[in-house]
Amino acid sequence: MSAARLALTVVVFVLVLGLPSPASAHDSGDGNAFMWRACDGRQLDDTCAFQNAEHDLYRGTCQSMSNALVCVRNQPIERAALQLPNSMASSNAQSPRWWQWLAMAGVLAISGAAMVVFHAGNRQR
Amino acid sequence: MNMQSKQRCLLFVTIGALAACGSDATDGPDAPTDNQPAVDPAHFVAGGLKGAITTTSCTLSGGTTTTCYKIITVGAPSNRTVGPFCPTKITDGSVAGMWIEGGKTYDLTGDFIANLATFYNDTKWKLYDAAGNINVTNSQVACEAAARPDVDPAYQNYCVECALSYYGGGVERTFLIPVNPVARKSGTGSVGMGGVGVAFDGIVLDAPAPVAAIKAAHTIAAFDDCGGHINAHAGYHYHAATGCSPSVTAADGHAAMIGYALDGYGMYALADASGAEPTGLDNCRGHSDSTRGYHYHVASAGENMFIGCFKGEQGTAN
Repeated sequence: MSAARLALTVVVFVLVLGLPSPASAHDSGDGNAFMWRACDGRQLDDTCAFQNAEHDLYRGTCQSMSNALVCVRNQPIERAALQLPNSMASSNAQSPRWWQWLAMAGVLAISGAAMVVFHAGNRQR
Repeated sequence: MNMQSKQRCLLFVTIGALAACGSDATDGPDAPTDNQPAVDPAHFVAGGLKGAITTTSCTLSGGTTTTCYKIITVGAPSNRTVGPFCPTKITDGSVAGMWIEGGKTYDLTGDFIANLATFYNDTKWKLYDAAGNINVTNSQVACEAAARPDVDPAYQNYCVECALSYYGGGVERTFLIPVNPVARKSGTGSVGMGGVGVAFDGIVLDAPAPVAAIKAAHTIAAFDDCGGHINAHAGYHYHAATGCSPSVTAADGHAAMIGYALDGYGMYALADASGAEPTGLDNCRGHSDSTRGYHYHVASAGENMFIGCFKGEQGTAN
């Protein structure tokens, strides 16, 4: 596999597996706990999103309630029948977490390294 | 593809990957306006009040000293009896109260209780005995042991309900709400344990609480159909707006007003007369218009909350 193909594969892999998906009511049966889980690892005022059991999408921001962060919807509920496919919706719904930034930085580094390798290889030829 | 094309391709894909991440939301587009209406005490139903609403000097959460309305409520709605909450038998087909789960509200019937294990995909849920009698807290001791955050192990797998009779018919509450809302100079105020506001029937609009511990004990703190329930600390309080409490309708079709937040801004129902939700809400679920100034729209009943934060300096609820 060429370095370019390898780099592209890494990019696609990170995009497919690394992006966040909205917290889902299917995750467990803790009532509206998914609204709280949607803000795990996030900061006050970060964007957040979650889905109910019918896959209706709720988008909002993380707000402090009784000293814990909960996702407070501030956009009309996007009913499942009307919304984008989950993969598209999730990529628009949530701000990246630190590890996603790290992953993206890794992608940048790999891409840059690949370009350097190409450049050097081309010169040798 | 030559080398330069490959490099451009890599750069394009990388930039595209970063762009796909999106960015944090900024605050909503609207801010408190100068034409802000004052709190109107006439909206409160007299039967929910202990006496006339008075004014008093107060210091708001941001340090501003101003005049507040002092609203003392009796802790029980005057136009109805609270409850019912829990069904008593799993064969009971009639609707008792309601439950909030996964962004939706559910009728609390015997059948619903009987199917909790399936509903939650957890076989530890079993709130009834061999005869089909549902475990319902039936005393003040039981209700308080089961309703506390660290549920008494003896009351696991219970449907929890408390009665206002345990608390003299209602827990009196005193609200200090600024006559004229004072917008925060920056940022927003967090919602604490004291509630977010008061409905026009004098019932506190309470904040949601993390429920993981309660659910882990397999208890259901049932709501009545009005989205309220009772505990020792807050008395009868709302966790959802279902249209039960008195409201002030708007001639222009705007959502009805249901109460005031602790910062004095009006709290309005979720949807307008046509059933449409507002758009352009800020992080607190508020926005401004020329008629109502800055105001909030409560979340849907299934979200178990009202607003996200305070745009103004709060008074108090005790």
